[in-house]
Amino acid sequence: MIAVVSVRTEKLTKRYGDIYAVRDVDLEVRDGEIFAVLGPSGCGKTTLLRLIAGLEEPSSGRIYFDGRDVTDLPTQKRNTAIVPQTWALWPHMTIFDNVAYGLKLRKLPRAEIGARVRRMLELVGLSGLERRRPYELSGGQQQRVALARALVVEPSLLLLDEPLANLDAKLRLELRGEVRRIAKELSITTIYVTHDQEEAFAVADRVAVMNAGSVRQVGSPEEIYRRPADVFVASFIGRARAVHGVVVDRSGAMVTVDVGFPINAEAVQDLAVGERAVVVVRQGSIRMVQDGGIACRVVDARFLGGTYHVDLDCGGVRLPAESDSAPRPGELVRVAIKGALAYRP
Amino acid sequence: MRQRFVSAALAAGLAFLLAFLVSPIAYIFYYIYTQLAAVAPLLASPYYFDVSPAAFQNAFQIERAGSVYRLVLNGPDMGVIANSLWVGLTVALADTLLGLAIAFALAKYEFRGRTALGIVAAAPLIVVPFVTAYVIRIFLNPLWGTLNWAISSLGIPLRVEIRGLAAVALAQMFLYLPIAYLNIYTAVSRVDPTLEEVANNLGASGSRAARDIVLRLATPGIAAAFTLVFIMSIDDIAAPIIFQDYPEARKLMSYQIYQYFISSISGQISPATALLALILLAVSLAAFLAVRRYVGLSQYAMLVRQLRPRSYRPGPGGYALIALSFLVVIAAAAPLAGALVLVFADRWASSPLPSGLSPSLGLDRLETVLTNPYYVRGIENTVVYSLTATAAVVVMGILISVAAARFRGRAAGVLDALATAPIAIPGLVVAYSYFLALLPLSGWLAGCCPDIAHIINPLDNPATAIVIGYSVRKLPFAVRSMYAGLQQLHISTEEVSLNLGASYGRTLASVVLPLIRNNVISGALIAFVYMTSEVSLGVTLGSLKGLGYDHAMPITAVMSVDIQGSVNGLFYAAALGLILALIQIAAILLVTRVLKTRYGFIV
Repeated sequence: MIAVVSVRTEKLTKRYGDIYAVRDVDLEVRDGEIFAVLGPSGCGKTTLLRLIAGLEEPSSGRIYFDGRDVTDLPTQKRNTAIVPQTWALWPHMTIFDNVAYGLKLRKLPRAEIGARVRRMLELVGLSGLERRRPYELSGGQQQRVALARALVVEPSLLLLDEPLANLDAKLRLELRGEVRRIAKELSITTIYVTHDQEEAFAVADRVAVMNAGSVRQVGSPEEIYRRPADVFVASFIGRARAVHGVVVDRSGAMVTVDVGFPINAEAVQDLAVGERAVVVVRQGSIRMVQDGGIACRVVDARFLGGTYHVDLDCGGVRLPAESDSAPRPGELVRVAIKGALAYRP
Repeated sequence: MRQRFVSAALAAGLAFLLAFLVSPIAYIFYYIYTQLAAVAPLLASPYYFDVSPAAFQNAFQIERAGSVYRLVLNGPDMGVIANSLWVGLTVALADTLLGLAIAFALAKYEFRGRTALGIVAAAPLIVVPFVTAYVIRIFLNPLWGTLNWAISSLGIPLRVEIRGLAAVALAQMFLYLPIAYLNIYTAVSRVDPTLEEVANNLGASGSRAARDIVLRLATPGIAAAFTLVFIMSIDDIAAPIIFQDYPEARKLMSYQIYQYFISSISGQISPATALLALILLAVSLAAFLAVRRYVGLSQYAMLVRQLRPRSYRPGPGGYALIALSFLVVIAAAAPLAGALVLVFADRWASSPLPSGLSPSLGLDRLETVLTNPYYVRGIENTVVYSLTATAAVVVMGILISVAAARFRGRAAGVLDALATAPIAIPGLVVAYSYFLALLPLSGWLAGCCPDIAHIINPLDNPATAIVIGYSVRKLPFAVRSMYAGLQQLHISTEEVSLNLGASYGRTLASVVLPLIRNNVISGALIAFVYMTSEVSLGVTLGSLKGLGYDHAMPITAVMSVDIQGSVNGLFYAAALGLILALIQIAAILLVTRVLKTRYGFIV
């Protein structure tokens, strides 16, 4: 049984000169949980992972494993196992030697090393490839070797940095399920860094959304999707468009924002009448209707499998919509917007 | 259209290398075959090969002379062939180990003075032939040398006398250290730091990860460094010439071949020399092929984008490595510093340090070498040979690199291997093969075409052989640079031009060459600089026309003659060396700062 840990960061900051890669990050990852860190490229998520792994030293802040301060502990002593984006398999070693390396460092008996390596390769579906070299394997197989190498040492914490980024779309779908299955089977605390929202939601129990070095929201995939905490999270999650306007009416949690035409939206932050606001409209929340709604002109329509993705011009405001039929460019249509969210700019 | 051009380029490249590299060398084989009866007994002669106990008798001695211990290092005298091998292997091994220490210190540790260490370590890449070796001789002089002066200043009751082959080996170690260090540093810093980080993360200490991951993956670069230094050592004639007062220092293959040229103005061909040239070639090629097979494996570990190697704060072991690196690097740079100081010194023959330094003395010597017709002729020769050969290298380099990069078929690999091979072929072998092939050829042509016979006759007109030899020997540097540029250029860049209707020649001229311009210029510049400081061809073929005012010697050969001639000759050789050094510094700055490309011996 692997002794898993909970992870807590406290005001964790990493600065390069005047640039903050990670800024005042407070996070709590529960033991046995798969926790995704989601954000665009350059938002600091890999740096955060490296700080937790002990591969970078924080400029300030602390890191705790099970309440124990590990901030000054070298990477060798944290009992974490990282899988970098490039997988970093050692090309001069066989698959067996790659996976066995961590066990050899722990000076385990040869027989036990052999047994554990074989068991782990079986778990990731690579039995029989022990004598091959990394470059003789496919991308998906290499990714599994990297995972096996990390898991075989029974780390307290598994750290995955965009582990599927170098794979094609089909394999990514297949392997993200595998990663979750294995992590859950071993009940291992896992931090999973990705820029892909769908991947984060498919793999993780909870998700932290990061931007510009800061954590913007932490929650379950459903919470993040249904109730994004701010404009950034709302725009980043799902295909969405942010439209600027002025609040013209308010009724309880609902506001009406004039963006050139009125949109009813749920005010996630407190908004007063007359205040400037940003309305975030998701693609799936705009539907074409026969009567009522807003009059828009079709700019373009593309078939994306199942539905049509339609670009609309609604009184000068461009909005994305979905439709079951294919409208012609230039055609006038009417649309209804449901589930829009309003934020302070 | 492109295929036709590329095929023509391939044919031209192969023809050039077959004519000027393969055929002359093949002729040595043929010549040896015809002279088997004469050369076979040589191998049995102890002068050439001797591993009897007597060979090791005077290798080293320690004796007490009064209150002082006297350590005499000669090295074993195992005959001409085995001496070259042991000296070459010792130099290569020592430089690889020291180069590894310096490269690791620079790549892996964070410490004050790191940049300075890197610069000083690379400084001896500036070649000042003969003079640096001479300075080392002064350092090692048993009576008043700098080494014994330093030892006695520290109060150590020891006198070290490094003589003969041991002195040659030590001098070569100093001279070739930067080549080892730069190759190893490049190999170490190209290993993806993530590979090391994962090992650290799994529990490996810094040194364990460096040993298991970095060192293993850098092995091809380390092997390449070893081979390069080995080949340069067995081809070197500067150190044996400088230490030729010791009879054992002359018992090296390189010196024997050189000596043959000096005494062959009569046009005699010696079977023994041909055999030595053949052995020199075989040993170098074997080393080169061994490392070439091995280097192929390394590509998987190398980075596409350059990341900074993972570095650590040094512990006690790290500090010891850094201290050793500083010591070695300063010692290795000292001969170059000494050679430059020599230009301004009044005397430096029987004192640990130069004396009577004065700027006006240096300026006078520079003025002499820039005005005296004998020296001016040497400078002119170097400029004419190097410029002509560089022009040939640029044309052939473009054709060969285009063919190697764009031709689909096995012939491209053959061309690439042939174009790289001159790195592994000792200059002395090239020089000897040209002499051996051109002498009978010019005699054969004398009847029908006396003008052509005169042009190619190495005794009347060594310039032809020198220019061709320069262009063949320095071709790899230009080809590697241009080929690297072509590999970075996506083939679609050419295809768009062809698709718009341009011929391949026009595409090459208006799209490809402008885009790889920096690679072409830096390749040409590196080749030119290496030609100006080239020794093997210059001092052998260059000396065939004698020492008159119409001599055919380039600067390096003039330096060799001067340094062996008179006391003052040493200072004029140093002044010529300063000019060479300035040319090299200008080229290094141009290549690395302006063109932003690489300068060096990197395989």
